[in-house]
Amino acid sequence: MAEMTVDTDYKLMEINMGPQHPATHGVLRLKLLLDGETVVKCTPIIGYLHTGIEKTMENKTYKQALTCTDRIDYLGPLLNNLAYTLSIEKLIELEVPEKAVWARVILAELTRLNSHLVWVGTHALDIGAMSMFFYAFREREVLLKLFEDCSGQRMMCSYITPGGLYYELPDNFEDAVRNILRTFPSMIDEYEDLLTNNQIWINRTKGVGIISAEDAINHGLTGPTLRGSGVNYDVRKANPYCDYEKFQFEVPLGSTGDCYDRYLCRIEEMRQSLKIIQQAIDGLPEGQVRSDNYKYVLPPRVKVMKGMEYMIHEFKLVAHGMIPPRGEAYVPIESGKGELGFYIVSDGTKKPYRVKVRPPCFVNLSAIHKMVEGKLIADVIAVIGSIDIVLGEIDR
Amino acid sequence: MSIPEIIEKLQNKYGDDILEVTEFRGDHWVRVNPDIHYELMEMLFREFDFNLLSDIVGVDYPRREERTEIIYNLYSLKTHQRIFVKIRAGGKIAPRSVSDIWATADWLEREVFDMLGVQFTNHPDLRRILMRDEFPGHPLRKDFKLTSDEVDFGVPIRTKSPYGDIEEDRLE
Repeated sequence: MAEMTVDTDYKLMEINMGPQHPATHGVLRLKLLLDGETVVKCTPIIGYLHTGIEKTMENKTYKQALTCTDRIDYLGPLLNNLAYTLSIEKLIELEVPEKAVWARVILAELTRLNSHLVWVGTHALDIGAMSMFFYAFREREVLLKLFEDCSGQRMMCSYITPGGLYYELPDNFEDAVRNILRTFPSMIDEYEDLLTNNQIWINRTKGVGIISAEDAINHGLTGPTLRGSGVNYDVRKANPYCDYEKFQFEVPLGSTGDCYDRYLCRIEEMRQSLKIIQQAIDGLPEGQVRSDNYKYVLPPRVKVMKGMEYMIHEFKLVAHGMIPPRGEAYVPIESGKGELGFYIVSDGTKKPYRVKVRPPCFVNLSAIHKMVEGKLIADVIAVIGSIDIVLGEIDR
Repeated sequence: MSIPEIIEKLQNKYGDDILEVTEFRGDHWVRVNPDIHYELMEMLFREFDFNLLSDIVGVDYPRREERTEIIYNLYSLKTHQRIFVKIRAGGKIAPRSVSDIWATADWLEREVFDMLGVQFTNHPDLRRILMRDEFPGHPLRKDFKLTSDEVDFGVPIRTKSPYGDIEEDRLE
């Protein structure tokens, strides 16, 4: 019998995962140093989708720049609109009618649902549960239809603008929202039936991609990725904006900080979003959806046709744009991915001097090496899915 | 401890190295001497529990000698307060990296370096992050043109501010 020899003279292998890889959610490239199946080192290489959105925004008026915000995190356009709008409103101290504020809450939570639906679909698809993708996108269609009814666009809404909402809410808004509230809880149960106790799902996610609370804070993680590690930080509770202090809801927390905890957090967050929407639609105040401070907000068409003063305001706003005072403002909000905010530097002209996005996905991704090093290569896919990245926002 | 109290403590400790304290719409900015900013940030981290470095913003002012203003956006998960620490860097001044206090700073400082060309000392891996390595220039500097050919429409597009004189910062 021939003697068996073990070859100990092997080398570490370096491979590229992405940028053209279906499970990297876009054009993320990970340079992996592998010892067999084990990841020794993981280096993300980003920038393949860099379009210079911040530079573009500096060269547009405040109103035009709003359209750029939709394209940053294209799964949560209304949340981006909201963050940008709140910063401008803080800069010019613009009051917003109560109906608009509550409608913003409904729209923001619907957008969070939208973002989480895409996350649960693609995350499960990556791991091999293909049917989840179809279920999630079936429900997402309902949300996109509502956004289309509101703004005329399925994804690039630009519906939330400084001063309130761009148009009046559509006539079927309340019915459509109540319909979502009626159908969605059973849909979320359906997802949980498919995944939560599914042994394959548990094997792939439980104990995978663990990050401790300390590391998570030190790496600046926010959103469900941070709360999965048991840190209670939700901007809606910590620094309420848009009257969030008036709504009753829980902040779901994980304990171990693995992919499974992050999954549970997001699923529970969807239920809490529905709870907030329920309260907001029940208490939706009457009134107008746009402020009547016509120095900054377009006057209604009817008034423009009848009054000279309104005509002048409209002309100034359309031809010239709004001019906030000099100063700097930053308002963080809780987006589907984490703390999102726009740091706006105004120099007192019609264009922002500098707009800096506080990108939750960018910061969350920077901690990926903590979660995957020393683990199997198949776990990398689960981790990428569980931190919920959107490359449009990472690269901007 | 409220933010004004913290700022007062910092002023007592660092004196003239605190160059400017601003309050605007309820937020607080402290502009400090770049020589001491690392020490000050470490103090904010250890003594005042600013454990989350939310963001680092770089703003370009091409007419200044230290052309980049860097704004550290610090947040405390314990007291839920926010403070902005500003330094002026660029030119000859290379501030010290804070990535050994907050690991977040690693990528955020790389972005500031990539976009505005500020060098950080003590940074573990200061490379470009969004642009390709051989890219010429730094895109978010004001003298980096958005398009290669400027179109002349024959009318001045420069606007005067109704809020008084603007610093001649914006290059057009």
